[in-house]
Amino acid sequence: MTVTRLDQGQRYRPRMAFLKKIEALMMEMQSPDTGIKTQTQTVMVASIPHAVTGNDILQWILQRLQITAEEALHLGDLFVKYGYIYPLQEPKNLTLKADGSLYRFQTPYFWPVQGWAADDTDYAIYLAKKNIKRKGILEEYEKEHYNMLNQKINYKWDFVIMQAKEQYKAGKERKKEDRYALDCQERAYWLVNRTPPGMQDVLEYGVDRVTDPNENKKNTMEAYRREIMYYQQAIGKTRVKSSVSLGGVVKYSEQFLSNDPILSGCLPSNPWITDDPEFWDLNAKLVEVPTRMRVERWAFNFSELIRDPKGRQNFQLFLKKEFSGENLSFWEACEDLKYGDQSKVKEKAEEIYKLFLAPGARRWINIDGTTMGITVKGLKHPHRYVLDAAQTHIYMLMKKDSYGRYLKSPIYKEMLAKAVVPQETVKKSTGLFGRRHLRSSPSPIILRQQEEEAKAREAAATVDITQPCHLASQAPRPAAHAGTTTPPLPTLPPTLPDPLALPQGTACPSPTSLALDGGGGTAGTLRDPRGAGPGPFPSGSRRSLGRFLRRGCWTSPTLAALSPRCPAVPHGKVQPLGERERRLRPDAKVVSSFFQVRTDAPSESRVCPEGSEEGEDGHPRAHKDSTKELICPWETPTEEGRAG
Amino acid sequence: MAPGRRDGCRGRGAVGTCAAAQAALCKATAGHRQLVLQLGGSGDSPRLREERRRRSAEARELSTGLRRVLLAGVRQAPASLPERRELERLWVLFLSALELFLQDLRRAHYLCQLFSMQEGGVAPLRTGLGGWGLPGRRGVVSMQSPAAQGLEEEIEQVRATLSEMESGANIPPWTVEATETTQPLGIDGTAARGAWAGPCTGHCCGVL
Repeated sequence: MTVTRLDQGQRYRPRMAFLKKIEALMMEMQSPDTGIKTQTQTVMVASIPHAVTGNDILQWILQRLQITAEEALHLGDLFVKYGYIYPLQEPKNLTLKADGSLYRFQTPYFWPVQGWAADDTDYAIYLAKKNIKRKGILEEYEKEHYNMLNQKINYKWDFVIMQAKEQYKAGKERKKEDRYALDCQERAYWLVNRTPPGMQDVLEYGVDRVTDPNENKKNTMEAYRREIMYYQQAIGKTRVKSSVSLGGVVKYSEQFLSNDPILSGCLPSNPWITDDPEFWDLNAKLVEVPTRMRVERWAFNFSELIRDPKGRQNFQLFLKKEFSGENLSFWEACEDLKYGDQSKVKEKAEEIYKLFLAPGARRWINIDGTTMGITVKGLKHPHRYVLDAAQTHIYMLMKKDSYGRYLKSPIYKEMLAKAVVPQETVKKSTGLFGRRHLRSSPSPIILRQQEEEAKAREAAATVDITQPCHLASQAPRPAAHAGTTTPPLPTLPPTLPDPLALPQGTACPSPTSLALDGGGGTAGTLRDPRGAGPGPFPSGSRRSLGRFLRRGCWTSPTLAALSPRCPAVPHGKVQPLGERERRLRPDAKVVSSFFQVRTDAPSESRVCPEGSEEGEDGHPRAHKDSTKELICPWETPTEEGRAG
Repeated sequence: MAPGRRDGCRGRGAVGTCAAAQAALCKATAGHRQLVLQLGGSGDSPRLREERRRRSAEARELSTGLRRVLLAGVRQAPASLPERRELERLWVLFLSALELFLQDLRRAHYLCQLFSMQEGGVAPLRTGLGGWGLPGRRGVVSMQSPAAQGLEEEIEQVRATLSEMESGANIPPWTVEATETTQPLGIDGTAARGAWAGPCTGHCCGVL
């Protein structure tokens, strides 16, 4: 018995209407009056009737169908290729030759019929038969098939051998000429249906279909209902007017014409022509100085910029200045989750959550409450696309807001100025015998390692504003920047400028620091933000501030109290998941202070004075170590032993 | 020797009977296929079709007998393990033969309809084969629709047998191992021996 695999309903060959048409022609060819005249083939001493010359076939087709000679030859050739006629003198060469070479018609049993495909079992029997007839006569590819089938249908193998023997014996009972003809027929059939390597498989039709094209559709109500539904859905599909889509294509082509290496040439030279790989070197992924064309391309649209690693690098520089570097980092992390190693999905998703999404995360990204809710919910069962909503949000954010400013920024302009325009070289290749200095490019493994190291270095060293309601990083809210003039709050997020900047003593000009100036004591603030942050505050607000900081961005009463003073507090931005709130609020000890900066600066100074004197909730001061125990909402908090 | 269970006509026990009947069935199906091969070709004739019908009846008869014996054997659950293995092997053999037979029957049905032997029907293809017995004899034929109906009945009968067998016992076919020690053919022409012991690794079987 045949083991059929789970086929998901795809088991029908597509409709091949031409088969029926060829069959009709074949049958017409047999007609004694209008058909083709036949000859006799002499094989050794036997003579076998019904051989036809190629030329006769061609003439018959020409006369019957009234087409050009070229087309008739092609059509006849197809007849042979599909196995309706097989050549006698060169059995393996399935072409029609318009001369005296002989052909014969294939028996209808071996016609390529839509209803049944050439079966593996049959093929196994055929090969076994051939092997029995004469050991070792099988060709290489046939031997491979034989061994493969032996393993594939091993349970049937006894049957195969038995049947092969019987068929062989049955064949021997016929007279010699018939036997010869039968052998030729069968061989031709298998040449068409199991093509030897190197020969074109004409019967290949791609994937099997779900519906049977030969099925007689019954005209039931159900069938009609389904048809109506199908057509309604088809009508309902959104379509773009061809004028619109064509217009888009034209616009794209015009814009990218200058960048097309085939249409506009490439500088310095096309490596495939001149053997000079300078073009590839100049356009390497993270080359020091990119080419001008490349940098100009970044201005076409946002996807060009973000697709180019060098562009991303440059964009990241700009974003860092604007204190929204975490957006791009988050985007890149999402891409890695989607396209990276899927066995590590769970870990990666957790990492991303801890780094970007959790309240109090080191590089918290600013997404709206609904998206955050969806994302966190989805993170319970992480998969490749779980961060899609958030990633799209961030992408649009960058595109609509940062991108515009980036193109006008000095960073981009500087890159544009620095970009190199390579000289066109007309260095001809030295030809086959010239000494060409061929270098191999660095191994992709090494390149990847370097990239990862660079990423890790950057990730460790990057400092972003970490607070949820920091004002500076809310790029889309210039009003917030301008509006935060109220003295108590501006120092609420002690801005932590890039640590690289810190040692150099340059303060990043940020609106909050300007406001800090207004608040007094800025330099000191910048230098030691954590300690001096709450300094200028009156103690009352500092208390609530501390509480606020401790708790994070909850919709707690303190927050509400603070809200008029903190216009940019994202109340409700992070929807507290109910259970998380319950679990974590008493566990505030594990959510340490916001300023979880892993910088090179000594961490002792981190122990903020604010916490110790407040002693809120009676919890001990958060330790540095507890930063690592940021609980993801879907995990069970071990210290409590509460079921998750 | 185990005592014969059923009508033990050969007196060698159920398994022995089965084996012999199986061989006969293979022979019948092989002959039947040879005849179906010639349908629609120059070897086609009423006599051929007659012969085909005869072979088909013979095969069907054998298959009913085998079915009975095998089903009974399986239901009675033979005691010894080797006997059961043998029974399963025969079971799979029988089903394979039936499937092949059914496939040939369907093709015969299709071809008979395409190349009906009526006067004025389609001329058979000149395939170079001599006719069965007297070549090119066209009798006044008679039964066209009865012949087609006969074929349909045959198909139905075999199909019923097949489904009955398949639902009759739960024998997964892949547990059966081939006893035919066909050496796998070496690719370079040298036969690779000993590659059979143990599970087959190496080649990737797409199916299953």
